[in-house]
Formats: sequence, C-alpha cells, structure tokens
Amino acid sequence: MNEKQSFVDFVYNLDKLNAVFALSSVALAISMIWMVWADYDREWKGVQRAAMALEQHKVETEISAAEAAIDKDLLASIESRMKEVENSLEAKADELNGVQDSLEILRGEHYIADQNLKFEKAEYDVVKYGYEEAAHNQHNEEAAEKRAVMDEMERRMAEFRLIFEAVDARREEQRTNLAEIEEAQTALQSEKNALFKDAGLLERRLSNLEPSFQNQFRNAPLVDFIDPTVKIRQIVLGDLKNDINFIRVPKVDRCNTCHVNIDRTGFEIDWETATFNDPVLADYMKANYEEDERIGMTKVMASHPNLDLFMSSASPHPMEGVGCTSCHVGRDRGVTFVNTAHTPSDAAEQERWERLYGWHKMHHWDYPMYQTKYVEQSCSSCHQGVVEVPKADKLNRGVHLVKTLGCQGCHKIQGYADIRNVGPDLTRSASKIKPDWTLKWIRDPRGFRATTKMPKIFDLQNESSPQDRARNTAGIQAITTYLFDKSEKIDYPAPPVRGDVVRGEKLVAKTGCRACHVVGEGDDKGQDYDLRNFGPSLNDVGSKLESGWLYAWLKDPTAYFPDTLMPDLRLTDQEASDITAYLLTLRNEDFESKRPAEVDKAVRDDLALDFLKGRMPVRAAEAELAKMSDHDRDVFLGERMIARQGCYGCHTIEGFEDMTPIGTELTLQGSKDVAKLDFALNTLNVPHTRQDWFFTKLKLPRVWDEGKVKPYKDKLRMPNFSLSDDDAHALTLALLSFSQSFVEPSAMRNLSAAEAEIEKGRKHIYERNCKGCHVVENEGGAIKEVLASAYVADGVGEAEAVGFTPPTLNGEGRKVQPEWLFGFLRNVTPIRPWLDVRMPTFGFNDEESVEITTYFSRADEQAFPYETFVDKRLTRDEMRGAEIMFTADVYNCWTCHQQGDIQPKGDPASWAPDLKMSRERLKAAWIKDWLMDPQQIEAGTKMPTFFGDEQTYLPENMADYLPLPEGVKPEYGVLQLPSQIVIDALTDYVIHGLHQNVRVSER
Amino acid sequence: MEAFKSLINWLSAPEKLIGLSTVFVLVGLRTRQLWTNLAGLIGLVAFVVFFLFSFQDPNFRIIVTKPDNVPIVLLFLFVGFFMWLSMKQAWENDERIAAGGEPIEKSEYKEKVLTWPHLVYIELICLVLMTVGLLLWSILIQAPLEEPANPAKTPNPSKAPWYFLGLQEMLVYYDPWIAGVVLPTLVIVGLMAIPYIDRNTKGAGYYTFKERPFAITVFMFGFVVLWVALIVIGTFLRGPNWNFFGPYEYWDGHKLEALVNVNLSEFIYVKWMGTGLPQFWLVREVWGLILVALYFVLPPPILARTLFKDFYKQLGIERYSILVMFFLCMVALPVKMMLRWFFNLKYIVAIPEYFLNV
Repeated sequence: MNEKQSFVDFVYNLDKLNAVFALSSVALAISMIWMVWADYDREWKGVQRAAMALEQHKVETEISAAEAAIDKDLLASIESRMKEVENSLEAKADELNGVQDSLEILRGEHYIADQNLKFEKAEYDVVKYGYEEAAHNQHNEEAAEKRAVMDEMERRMAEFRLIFEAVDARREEQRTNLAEIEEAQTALQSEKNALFKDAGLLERRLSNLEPSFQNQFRNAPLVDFIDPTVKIRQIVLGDLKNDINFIRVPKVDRCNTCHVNIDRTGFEIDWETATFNDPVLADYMKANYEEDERIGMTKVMASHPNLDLFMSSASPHPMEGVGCTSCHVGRDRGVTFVNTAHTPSDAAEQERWERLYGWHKMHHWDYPMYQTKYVEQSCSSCHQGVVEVPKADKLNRGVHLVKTLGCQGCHKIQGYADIRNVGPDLTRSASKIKPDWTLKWIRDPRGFRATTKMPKIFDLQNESSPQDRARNTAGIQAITTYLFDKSEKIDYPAPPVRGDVVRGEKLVAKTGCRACHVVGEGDDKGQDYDLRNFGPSLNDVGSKLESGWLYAWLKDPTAYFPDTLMPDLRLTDQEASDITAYLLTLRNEDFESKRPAEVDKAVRDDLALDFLKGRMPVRAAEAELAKMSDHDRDVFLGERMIARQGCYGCHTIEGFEDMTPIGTELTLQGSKDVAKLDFALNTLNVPHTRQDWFFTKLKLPRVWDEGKVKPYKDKLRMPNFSLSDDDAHALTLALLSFSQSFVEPSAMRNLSAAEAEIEKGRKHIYERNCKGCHVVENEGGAIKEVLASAYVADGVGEAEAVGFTPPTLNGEGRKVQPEWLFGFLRNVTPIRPWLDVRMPTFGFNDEESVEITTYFSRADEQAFPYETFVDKRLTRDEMRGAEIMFTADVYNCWTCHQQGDIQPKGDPASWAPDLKMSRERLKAAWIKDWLMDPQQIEAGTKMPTFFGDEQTYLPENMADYLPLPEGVKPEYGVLQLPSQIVIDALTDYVIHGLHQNVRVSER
Repeated sequence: MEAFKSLINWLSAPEKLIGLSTVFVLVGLRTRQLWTNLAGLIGLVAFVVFFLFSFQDPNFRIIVTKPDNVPIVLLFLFVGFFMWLSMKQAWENDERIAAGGEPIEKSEYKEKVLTWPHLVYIELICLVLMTVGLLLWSILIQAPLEEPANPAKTPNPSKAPWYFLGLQEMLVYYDPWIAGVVLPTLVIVGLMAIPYIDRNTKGAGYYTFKERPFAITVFMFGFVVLWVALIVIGTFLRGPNWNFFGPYEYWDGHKLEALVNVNLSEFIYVKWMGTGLPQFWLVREVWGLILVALYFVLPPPILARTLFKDFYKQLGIERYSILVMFFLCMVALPVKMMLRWFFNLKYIVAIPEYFLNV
C-alpha cells in the first residue's frame, strides 16, 4: 500500500477503485451470461422438447409393443439353429480362415490394380490434351513426341486393365466361396432381423428424440447454430403473400415450430376436452401436466382435425403448398405465443391464456388469427366464382343468407349486383293489398307472418321512446299513403268458376306448391331460410289477399310481377279457383283483430317540417308545409321516409328506380380497419374486433345509438332480421369473407372451362330453387317428405308414396340427351302425366336453358352438345324377340311403362315414363346401365332389378331371336346367357324398334 | 388524492407548464438556496416520490413505461442533475470570487496527474458500467417495433422522434414553414453566431453565474423552456389528435376541443370595426404586416436605450443588431404561444392566397 502511494499520487483511492472495477466486471460477466441465456431460452424450444418427450413416450410404448409381438418360440428356434450352424462352422475353421486370409490379400491387390489403372488414365488424358494442342498449333515435332508417349501409355493401360480384371475375378471367386460357407448363417441372421424390423425402425426414430448426451450437446447454448435437434421449422410460400402496405412479401409460416404434429397422423385429439384419442398419449399428458397446462399443451401437439382436407401431403391443401396462415391468418413469422397473434375463442380461454402465457392482443399486427368458428372466411380468398365452396358449410350458409335476406339491396357488394330484389314489386300493390293491412304489416311484419324475411324496421331500441313511436306511426302512415298514391290500380274480377276448398287443399298438397312454400295445417318449418321457405309461408294469405288477385296471380304470376320467381304451374281455371278458395281460408285472426295506431297530425307535421328544413331555409320550409294539403303532407313524408329507410333496396317503388342504396358498401367490409367501425359508447362492452362488431350489429342493429344524442332522422336505420345466433354467426363469417384477397391469381383455385360451366348451372339451380323438388348432386328434394305424407294420408302405402315424388336429377347428364333437355326446359311437356306434382314452366330463355343443359352434361362428364347417334334397323327376329321380352311372359314392361298413347295396365302408383320418348330423350348407354342395376342409379326406384348379374336366364324359345355366343344353347327348357346380350337387345328395341313401322304384337 | 391528480393535470396544461418553467428559469437561477446539496437532495426525493406515487395511476404508467418514452424519463433526471451540479459550482465560485478568492477550477488546475492510470482507469470502469447498462436495457425492454407502415392508416397521435417533439409542438402555434424551417435554422445559426457576438472571456474554464447572468438566463430559457419543456409536453402530454392530456388522464381518441381560433384580421375588421373582411389580401392583412414589421423595428432602439444599454455599448451597432434580432426571434415563440392561449389568435398575418401565414 505504501509502496504504491510512494510511486505516484492518486486522485482516487486505488483500493476502492479496484473493488469498483472488480464489481463492475462481475456485473458485466453476469449480464453477458444473462444476455446469452435470454437469447437462448425461447418459448418454442420448451414446446418442441415437450413434444419430443411425448413422442419418445409414444415410440417407447410402441417398441415394447413391437417387442412383445415377436414370436418367442420362433426366436428361440432361430437361435438354437444358429448355435448349430456356428458349431458346424467351427469344424470348417481352417477352410474359412484360408478364404478370409486370401480375401484380405486380394483386397490390397485389387486396390493397387484399380489405382494403377486410374492414375495411368489421368496421366494419359494430360498427354492427350498436350498432343491435341500441339497438333492444332502445327508444332509437329512436339506432336509426334507426344503421340509416341501416348502409344506407350495406351499399351500400359491395356496391361493394367488385364491385371485389374484378373484380380477382380479372383476376388469374386473367393467371395463366392465365403458366402457358400456362411450361407446358412446369413440366412438365419436375416430371418432374425426380419423379426426385429419394426422395433428397429422405432429405435432409430427414438435416437433423435432421446435427451441423450449427443442431443443435449447439439442443443447447448452457443453451439446450437451447427445442427440442433430443437430448431425453428418454417414453410416458405412463394405465391401466398402478406400485404405490408407498400409491398407484398411471401409468407413464411413457422407455426409448425410449435405445432410439430400438425401434419402427422397419430396425434388426433378431441378438441372439446383437449384429450388425445390415443390413450397412451392421453395418460401421459394427465400424468405430466396440471389440468390448465395440459389443455394448451395437448392442443399445440395435436394433429390437424381434418387431415384429409388439410395439411397432409395427399390432401388438396398440403402444408408445403398452402401453409397455415393462408387460412388461419395471424403473424406467420412469429414464434412466441403472443407475437403470432393468436386469438382466443371465448372469454374463458382468454382468461387462461392471460394467466398462463401472458397473452395480450398483438396491437402491432393488422391480421390477428381468426377464431376457429370464423376460419372459413379464408376459403373465399382462393375459391372465387363458385356458388358454394365445398365443405365450407358455415361460409356457404352465410353467403346464402346474404343473398336471401337481400343485404345487397341496401349495401353495395361487388359480385352481388345482378341479384334480383328480394322483396316484391310495389308499383302495383294497390291492386293487391289494403292500406289497413299495410299499416300493421310495416309496423310489425312478424306479427303477421312469423317466418317472413321482411325485417322489423320501426320501434327498435333507438326509436322506442313514446315520442319516437309517435313519429314512427306518422311515418308508417305516410309510407302507406305514398305507396297507394303512386301504385297502379288494376281491378281483378272474381274467379270465373266457383272454387272448392277441399279440392284446393288437395291440389296445394300435391301439385308441388310445398317445394317453395310452407302451407297447410301443421306445416311449419320455422324460419330456416332453407328450400321450403324459398317463397313466403301461405298460412295467412287469407288475411291479406282477395280472390280476384290471387286467382290471376296463380294463373300467370309474371303478368302482375314480371321479375317474380314464382313459376307458371299451367293450372286450369278450375284448379286455380280451387286453390284460391282454399288459400283464402288460411287466416291470421290475431293480426286481423289488431287496429293500427292513430296518427298525431302535429307529430306528422313536425316530422315533415324536419325533412323540409333539410332542403330549404326554416321559413321557406314552414311556408312550404303550410301550402300542402293533408294528403300532400303524407305523400311528401312518405317519400322522405322511404328514402330514409331505403325500402327500395328490396322493393321496386315508383319514384325510386335510380336511387343509390342507403347502406355502407360491404365489398371489403371484412378487411375494414377496426378503428373505422363505430363502437360509439359501447354500452355492452363488445370486444373491439370486427367479428364482434358485425355480430352485435346483426343481432342488435341499433345498439350503437345507445346513449347518443341524435335527432330522429339521423338515427341508425339498419332493420332487425331477428336472426338466430347461428345465423348471425354465419352472416358475420360471410361479412368477414368480403375482404381483399392477397393471393396471387395463379395460386387461387382456378376453375377449368368445364367447372366454370358447372358453376353457371349451379347458379340457376340455386336461384330457381330446383332442389325444392329434385335431388341434385345428392342434395335437395325437400318436398319429397311432405308430398309422400300427403299420399300416405290418402291411404297409399309409404313405399308406393315415394313413387309420386319428383325424380332425382343425379346423373341427369348421363341419362338424357342435351337436345331433349334443352327443348324440355323451353317448353315443358309432362313425362309422367299420372303424377299430381308437376314440373312448372319457369320461362327460361335460350341462354339459361343452354347453361342448365350444359351444366348437367359437364357435371356428369358427358360430351356436349353432340354425340354420335347410330341409327339401326332391327331385323324381324330382333323385333319379335324384343316384343316377346316386353310382354308379361318375360319382363312385363308394359304393366308400368306407358307406350305412346297407350296407358300402362298396372296401378297408377307404379306407372313409369313413356318408352316411346326414349329415342329422343335418353342415352343408350344410360338405358343399359339402368337395366343392369336401377337401384344403383336411383335408390328406391320401383324399376325391378332384372339382371344385376353377369348371367341371366330366359325361356328357351328366346334362343331363336337373340345373337347367342359360341356354345350357348338352351338346357332343360332354360336359356342361360350373358345379361349384356339381353340388355343390348332391349335397349335397341326401346330406341329403334319402337319407332319402326311394324305392328306391335299382342300384349 | 384525486384532487392532487386534477391539480397536476391542470398545472400540466402547456400554458401553465411553459409559464412555470419560465418562472423557474428567470427566478430560480438567481435563488442561491436552490443550488445546495440539501436542495438537490430534496429535488431528487421529490421527483422519486412523485414518480412512485404517480406510477400507481394506470394512465400515467402506460405513458411512462412505453419503451419509446423511457429515455425521456431519464432526461428529466439528467437535465435536473447536471443543471444542479453546474449551478451549484457556479454559485460556489461566485461566492469565492466575491470573497476575493479564485474559482475552484483554477486552484485544481495547479495539481496535475498523469492520464494513465488516473483518467483511463475510471474511464474503463465507466465503459464497463455503461455496457452493463445497455445490455440490461436491451434485455429488459423490448425494441418498440410497430405495425408495418400504412399510408391509409397513420398512427394517432403521429409523433416525431423524441428529439424533434419540441419542433412538432411549435407546429401548434406556427405555420409549418416557420416552425419547421425558419425557426430551426435560426436556432442553429444563432448557436453558431454566439462566439462571434459574445467575446466576453469571463467564465471561461470555470462555472459562474454572477459574471454572466444574461447569457446563462437566455440560454437556459431557450434550452429548458423552449426545448426540453416542449419535448416533455410532446412526449407525455400530447395524445390522440395532438390534443392535450394531463399525466393522469386517459387518452381518449374521441375527446373534442372547440376549434375557435381566429386571425388578427378577423379581430380588427369583424370584431372591432364590425364589417366584413376586405376582398384584397393586402388590405386585409396590412395590419398584421405592420405589426410584424413593428415587432422587429421598434424594440431594438428602445432596448438599446433601456435594458440592453450596456450591451449596446460593449458590442457596437452591428453585433448588437444581430444579437437583438436573434433574441426577438426566440421570444417570438413564447409571444405567439401567449397570443394563442389568451386570445385564441390563429395567425397575425394569414395570406392563404400565397401560402404565407405568420
């Protein structure tokens, strides 16, 4: 100490300084270690290690199972045999050693010979290059020298080659000797290996999973950059991009860094309880994790719940091509729970996440992960231009609801512009309805018809104060006055004949009305917006309509409303009158007994004045109002109220033909910034997400006015559709899907030309509600059940009743000829005239008919439109043979089938189409398939299965008429022959024979 | 507690905060009692207590702990500490000089030691500790990354980097070309001009206040009030839509402030003379132009005869004029602020026809 101070005077105390320096160095060392650890210790590593441990457990279990499965006796016998062989080998020890020794020597010789040859060749190539250069440059002397060297080398190479081949041959010889001596042993060994094959493969898998020293070292801090077993995994998706505003960058999905088993089978879980289906795994999780943790860990290590459709390499959406965030969204490059932008599916999950993983909303990423219930919204980023996305049931439901409820009426949505108005035309409504009914209807549509699509517009939560109710009353009165004032008034005379209620009821039940309408006592499907609710329920029309109008409507719907989807059922005057009479008996007594509220004229005038003030100065507005008569005031206010509510979005209304819709555009609503959605005072504490806002808005459309101070005419106007939670969810999903797609067109699901044609057809099928009657693509036929039950009520057997329902259209393209179908659609002619239910006339134009015809052909992969038709003239024998087969003696066809004008002999319930039409209508190939196995084509058909087997039997006399193959002849009075021959003969007769001018023999 | 919070909220409003810090500079620097060890300790304790207390408030906590704002909290401490340190030494020197002695620095100057190891050793220690500090900071506070920039959705509030927040605050009071171009340029040119104007050698190499009260007061006013205080306001007290929010107030994006500022021309023609605004811009703005001209023409001679009499003598007319011009430009900022706060004056001269507003 003294020595130091004597050396030089210090400003500071050196010992203290040394201590400070030491301490700060320690602090530096600690913080360096901390830094390395902070960099090393990552959340995802824990998950990967846990997944490895789980798999290790699984593999170990499998190994012991595999080992247990080994046949112990077989193993023992192999081993004892091996002992014997070894003993016998000992006897031949000298021989064996000799061979092994000479092999060892030969190995050396072989190596040298091989090397000599190769080196000589290498040097030869060098000289050859020199020679070629010299010759090319005309250095003749040098070239000659090199040539000489080359010749010498070539000679040596030939020598070396001979030596090498000789050594090689000797070695092979010795090897064969050795193999012969050891033959028995080798065979036994491979037998033993085969026993352990499964276990061996598993052992190899295990070696990468075990926390062995080698693996631990590979994953140690600072050396883990070389070749760790725990590492980030990623999928780079070139065509699928993230939009980061100025540029689009390819997605790099790192999700499988934690979700390691997502594309593998064997880790399936039950998502409700978060338990592995495999009990080994489930038990392991229960034993190793607390309940809370177990849920999350099980989910992160699970297989994808739908591997057939996603993730697996055989599925249409393989992980390597589609990745994860293309559908689920979220932050693709993130590797922590929080910064991947996971989204909890409910409050309980959110609470658990916050507690266990410190979850919080990732504010700085604009695309948080979709909740599972909304993930189908992503389908539409690639699947565009289709009526329905296969298997995306919720999305399809949502889109269906958008179209059915007519969202596009008030909200512009790109791609929905050509959808017709969902409500009826009101330009002639005065001819149809009465003002009194209209007042009550507008106020409370569901009070009249519980299942109507017309939403509730007035008296909702933001207009429920007594003052606002009075304004609503005035507004409704004004709207009604306006509608009747502007409407065309047509007088419809009463039906020309007296209708019969009982007959009418039968007609309604059996003609096919119920494919689109719920009607009749006890018929109530609730509001499911499904096939049978396509048109309005008719169970209350008696309280609304009068017979003249209804009769005229039934006779020709388009005369009153040219755009209607109601088809023409070609009813006779009597039928139409009967139906009219019946429908008018269906009434809603409750509704009829209600009285509309009285209008307070002062309130009406105030409201009209308010609207006027928006257009002109206050004094001018007052003067203007004073000039108006009472009626004018109503008409003016009605016009303003219709404009305010946007009634013209769904209905055609005189004076509003060119108005723009009142709602906000929804084309990109799904990608609308959350900050642009007005949560207002958010009295319900709705979470700040798009889906929650949409859902709340759909369920409580006026909720964002709560607590706000607003004049009546500025209040929110969205009506209430009284949606169920499921439907509101589906609609929310559809809204979310209306968003900008960042998928490159090349990466989308592009439709082939044929697929595009199929989609066009599907659009017609959807728009015309074809599935109300027909099963198309295995869906629909909604009317079948109610129709069949109507016949059952008449005493027809349940099995027979099905015979009265509309035919299925599965495979229609294979069945009928396109020209015929086109003609049929343009001009419907009954095929099964004995049926009560009838194919209506839809009035398809040429283009629509072509599109529908094309659709059926394409859907069944048929040539379109032309196909070879080979006309054939049947011989006398062929005709005769077929005629016999058609009789009751053989197949008895005419009992059920009509033939031209000749009606079948059997019971109408079993009648079948006119076979004379077949030439124009059916395809020969289909007839053959049909004859072979009708149940295969239309399950439940009454057509008997005559064949269904390779061989069939006929009376022996048929041998005279049919082309028999070699060696076939009748035995014991029966002719056994291949079915195909008979089917061909029958088909030829149906298509050609029936049209040949030959007398049909007696039947 | 709530009353205290509302008091602080109330006091934090720009006009009060700027006013208080101005008073602090003008009066505080001259108050000997503020620059002692005890006062320093009290100041530190008061700051810590205030901070700990405020930390209980969620709104305060959110804004103070934002990774971006942590340096500004440190700025409080550092500016305060170094100001206290230098002023303490200045006052001590002044007392020694008044007593006939010499500054501390001068007596220390006579004792010399070698750079190695005396300086280098402690520098090394500082280096190590600084590295430790940076490491810990980077481990404990994650880099404040934000979402990808989106031209269709800018952050609200949109804030400049912290060192430019003073300039951004000026935008409230002045047109962008003045607040963003003219004034910053003058600040730089003015700082560069100091050695050419101020040739006073007093205070060179040692701390003193009494020997150059004007220079120090003016500099402190520019630095503490017009720079640091504005940064503090910009960082902690300006929320969505650049609205003012007290330190304990929730940053509500929907908060409204009535925009009722008017131009000088409207004061003169509409409010006082009761007529409409003249059509021609020159007639309309002539009063404002005259006022601005007078602001730069009248004070220099007046000041030369009154407050700055001594400067005028020492510096001569050229350097005096330059000094006064810079001084007036600097004072123009608080002047305009006050006009805005107390009279809702938008612009003195407003010529949108030529994009010229003052």
